[in-house]
Amino acid sequence: MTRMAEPAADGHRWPSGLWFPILAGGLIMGMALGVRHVQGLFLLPVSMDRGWSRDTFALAMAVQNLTWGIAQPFAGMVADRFGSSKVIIAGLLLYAIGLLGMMQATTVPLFVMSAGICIGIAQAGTTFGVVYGAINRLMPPQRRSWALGLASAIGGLGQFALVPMTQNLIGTWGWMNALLILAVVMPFLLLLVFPLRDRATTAQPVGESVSPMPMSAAIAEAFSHRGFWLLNIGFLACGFQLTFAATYLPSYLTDNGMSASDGVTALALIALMNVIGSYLFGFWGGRMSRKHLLAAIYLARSIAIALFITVPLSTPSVFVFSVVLGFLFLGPVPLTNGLTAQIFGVRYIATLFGFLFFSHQLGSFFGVWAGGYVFEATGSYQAGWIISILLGVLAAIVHLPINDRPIIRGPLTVAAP
Amino acid sequence: MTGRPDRREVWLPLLVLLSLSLPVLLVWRASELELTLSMLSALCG
Repeated sequence: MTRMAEPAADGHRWPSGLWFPILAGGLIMGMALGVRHVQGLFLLPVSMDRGWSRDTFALAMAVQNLTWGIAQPFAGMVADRFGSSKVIIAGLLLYAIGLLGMMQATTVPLFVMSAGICIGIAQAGTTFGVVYGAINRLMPPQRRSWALGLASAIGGLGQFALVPMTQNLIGTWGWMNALLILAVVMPFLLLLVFPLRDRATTAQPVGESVSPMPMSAAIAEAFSHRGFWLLNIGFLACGFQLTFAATYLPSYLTDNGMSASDGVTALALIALMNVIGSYLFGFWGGRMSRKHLLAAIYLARSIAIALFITVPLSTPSVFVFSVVLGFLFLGPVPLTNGLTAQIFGVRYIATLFGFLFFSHQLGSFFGVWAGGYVFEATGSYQAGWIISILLGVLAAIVHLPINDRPIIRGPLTVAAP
Repeated sequence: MTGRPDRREVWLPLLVLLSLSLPVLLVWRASELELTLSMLSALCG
């Protein structure tokens, strides 16, 4: 089995160079998440040019979300076994192929195959699970949480910036050329993979256990740990809350008499505050209890949603809600990853986080589905918001009893001085 | 880059991120209805 990198405990081996993996990981995630984020901009031009209904595009996006979730544990296993950089390389190339496929697909099955399955798998190889795995292994333990937060924030900035850029590309060059340009950019990101190569070293992080166990045993260990199940429940709730809010907030606002401009500003504020929140929660995760921070985030989200649907809707109330929601948006991702690494170590972090991410995507799927379902059944999104509140409270509660002490695996643990 | 990040290492990236975000926010603000469609692909992971 490939010996995975563990950074030197005192970090002296490669000091200032530790910025590079953070920047590289953030940029790769920014592009990967950003391209996914802008796919809605292609809905109208693709549907009109191909003569498809909007359902076809929505089907491809739903397949993409599920494929991402299903593929993530497997991408993590390959990353933990052979190194994250190899998975990221494959993911970037697959992303380019998927975008070219989207451009060329003239039939629904081909479109679903490229936009849904191909890009879904590519996302599993180029986003949180695998990139975080590399950063976890390359960073000294004292800096991991901060590094994850910073990489997330850079990724969030990429997401944020790619929306107007892509819109401009479509407006100037047409949707097919816009996809072509995005596809061509992907291979250039291969240059960023070098700083993310897991380095072999004989040093072990102080105070962390060295995991000599095979992957199957590590997975079994995680699933026999009550905390891992509780993290799954929390992350499922997270996926539901985020996707429901992100997908249906614009419709909710326009249904209640707000302007489209308010909706756009709300989304921009969420995206902007997400950059700040991801970074700060990552940083705080290195100084405070991660499980308590996670519980606080979920509870704060529930309170924010409850106030939002209770207070009369107005432009200020929408903007305040957007700022709060944006600040809390992706904070749970570096914290959940960091908490998993804290308990189980970093050796199989990409695999274990892959399983957690599957739960997140399951929650996302139900968030989208439930929104549409409750709207059809009741004529409003109120029930969906209430489910979001309840799930947030549940997520906050289940994080409290998590035993977050690192698992000690006998004599191979390196004692802290 | 040995122990915990020091104060400068914490605030500098945040300031850089914010300074890069603000121009993007202005561009976003200039765009209108089409941007709401981007939400169909859902913001989060």
